[in-house]
Amino acid sequence: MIALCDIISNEKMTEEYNIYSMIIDAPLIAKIAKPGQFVHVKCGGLTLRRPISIASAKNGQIKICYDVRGEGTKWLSGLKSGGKIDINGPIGKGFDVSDTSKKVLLAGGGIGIYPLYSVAEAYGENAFAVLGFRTKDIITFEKEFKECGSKLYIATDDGSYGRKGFAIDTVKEILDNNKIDIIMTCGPKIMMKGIALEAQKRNIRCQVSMEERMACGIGACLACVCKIKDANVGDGVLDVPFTNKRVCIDGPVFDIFDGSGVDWEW
Amino acid sequence: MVDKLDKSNLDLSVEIAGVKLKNPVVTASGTCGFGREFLPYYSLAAIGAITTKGVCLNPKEGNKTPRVAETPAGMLNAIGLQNPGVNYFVENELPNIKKYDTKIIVNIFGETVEEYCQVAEILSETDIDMLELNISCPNIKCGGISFGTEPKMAEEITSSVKKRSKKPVVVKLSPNVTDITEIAKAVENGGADCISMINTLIGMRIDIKTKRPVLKNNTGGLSGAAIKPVAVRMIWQVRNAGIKLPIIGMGGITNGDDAVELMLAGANAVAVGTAAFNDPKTVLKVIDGISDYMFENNIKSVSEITGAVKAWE
Ligand SMILES: Cc1cc2nc3c(=O)[nH]c(=O)nc-3n(C[C@H](O)[C@H](O)[C@H](O)COP(=O)(O)OP(=O)(O)OC[C@H]3O[C@@H](n4cnc5c(N)ncnc54)[C@H](O)[C@@H]3O)c2cc1C
Ligand SMILES: Cc1cc2nc3c(=O)[nH]c(=O)nc-3n(C[C@H](O)[C@H](O)[C@H](O)COP(=O)(O)O)c2cc1C
Repeated sequence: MIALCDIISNEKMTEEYNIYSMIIDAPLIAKIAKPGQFVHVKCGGLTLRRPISIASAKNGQIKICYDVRGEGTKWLSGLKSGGKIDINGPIGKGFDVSDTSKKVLLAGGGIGIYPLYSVAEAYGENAFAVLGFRTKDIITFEKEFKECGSKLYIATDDGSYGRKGFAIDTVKEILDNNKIDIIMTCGPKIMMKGIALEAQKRNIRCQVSMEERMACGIGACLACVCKIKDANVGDGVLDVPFTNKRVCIDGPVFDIFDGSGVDWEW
Repeated sequence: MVDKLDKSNLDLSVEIAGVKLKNPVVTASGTCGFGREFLPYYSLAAIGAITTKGVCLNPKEGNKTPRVAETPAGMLNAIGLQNPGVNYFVENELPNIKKYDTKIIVNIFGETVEEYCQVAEILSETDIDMLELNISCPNIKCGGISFGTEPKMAEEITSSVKKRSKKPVVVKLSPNVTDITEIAKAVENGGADCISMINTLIGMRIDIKTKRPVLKNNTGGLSGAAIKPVAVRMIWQVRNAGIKLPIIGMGGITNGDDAVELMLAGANAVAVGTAAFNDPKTVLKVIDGISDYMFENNIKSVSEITGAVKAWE
């Protein structure tokens, strides 16, 4: 649904980097939003809306967190509390939170940590969360993930905070020492690929949140396609060809079962 | 003096190639899929016609991503004509569109004249209203140059499809030509029942940091508000060249005033594309805006707007 909503707050989260957190009063969207879904945000006079994940939805409000990359997100960063924002959502298929007694491993990189936050809220102490960042100054949401009860591990590429190295190294360690029922990942493609292939090796179900440039955000234009194998949970990945799936409404989260379910080279 | 019009009495209907549309606003091909995705926003019964995503004989997977990029007041796309094939359309999508009281224009394309004809034949046996030929595609038998950029090929494809189609044929012109009137005359000679114009203008964007084109296809089609003046100019030129065929005008329409502009230039009906990506209800806004214009200007029938531009000497 498209709604013109009140902005409660819009604040920068880090000193050094332009990452913002915006709270929006959106009762109808907040009520039905599921972890992993996104809103398609109108950005001033730009032709296309911009997809931003719903990081959290409660008490009639949603929180979105975004990195200023270009014109659209720059425009968003200029919005002030008390102003209005035009959003379409919630859109897409989210992560599986139907049985939160399962042990879940959340692996997020960069801006990919935000959609995982609402999953962490749902799973509480049953979640292990591995968050990867380039460097210390860019770290956000450490406190938030801890407060949900997640067992939290932070890795930085340059070792300036937490564990040095990529998230995948920590993910392997956790998998070696714990029984994990399902892995959920969102972040750079290269990171998700590594994690999904690790899931495959260990025969653990895996859900990935894909990212592609979008235009309509409602499934009509076929801009944001990726190549996915249709697999049913429990069947494992079938010996079927890849088919085009729309990230906006067939995803962004795909239950690929394991790493072979995505054509990573597409 | 004419009495002031009542808004409910305005006649928005238009007749194009024998097909009566309840209003002159239709969707542009490729921007509304097969209609399904827009159902949460409006009923297809509200619009004059739906123009479907282009279909060809066999399923086509399209280009690699990124397939789209934002540009000043517009966008580039290189979807690569992804579609499930004409037979899938007939079996799985057409019945759904038929539930709504609207006209159906099916956009078709092919790699050869024969493919266009086969698709047209298949659709001739179904309950659709018109065919729209996307002639901006490469003709693989002629070294890949587009059917729509060469008058002889444009005429041949039109006359060949006309011979084998039982449905009225709309030919959609490519703006990527030196003289649009030559192509328009060629398709008129070929027997087209209607012209639609314009398709996208070929463009390109380069990421200056990576030195890579933003689209994986390198180039793409420019659409949206930025191309409206080009659409207006081309429609006007085609009308001035004495072409009498009905024209479905498109290119950058975002509201009723834009639609009126294309109609003043000579369009009989209009199509809305890219603007629907930002606001899926744009078509409704366009219909309302045209009504407002008619009301304010005491125009009883929408057809009175067509070609009513008063060009300078
Ligand atoms: C389902 C989904 C959820 C997302 N959630 C978030 C989120 O929670 N927080 C957040 O900060 N970002 C998120 N993104 C990415 C965000 O949509 C883009 O960063 C944003 O659209 C950039 O817009 P812009 O106008 O600022 O930049 P532009 O000027 O459009 O682009 C600047 C640069 O950003 C990159 N870019 C632009 N659009 C995309 C895209 N759709 N996917 C990948 N790269 C892109 C390109 O490399 C480009 O060079 C999400 C994307 C998707 C598809
Ligand atoms: C994403 C996208 C896909 C399109 N696909 C088709 C297509 O399959 N066949 C076709 O004839 N035109 C296609 N077009 C062109 C549009 O129908 C229209 O002619 C053009 O976009 C100009 O109108 P607009 O500025 O209102 O979008 C496409 C345009 C876009 C933006």
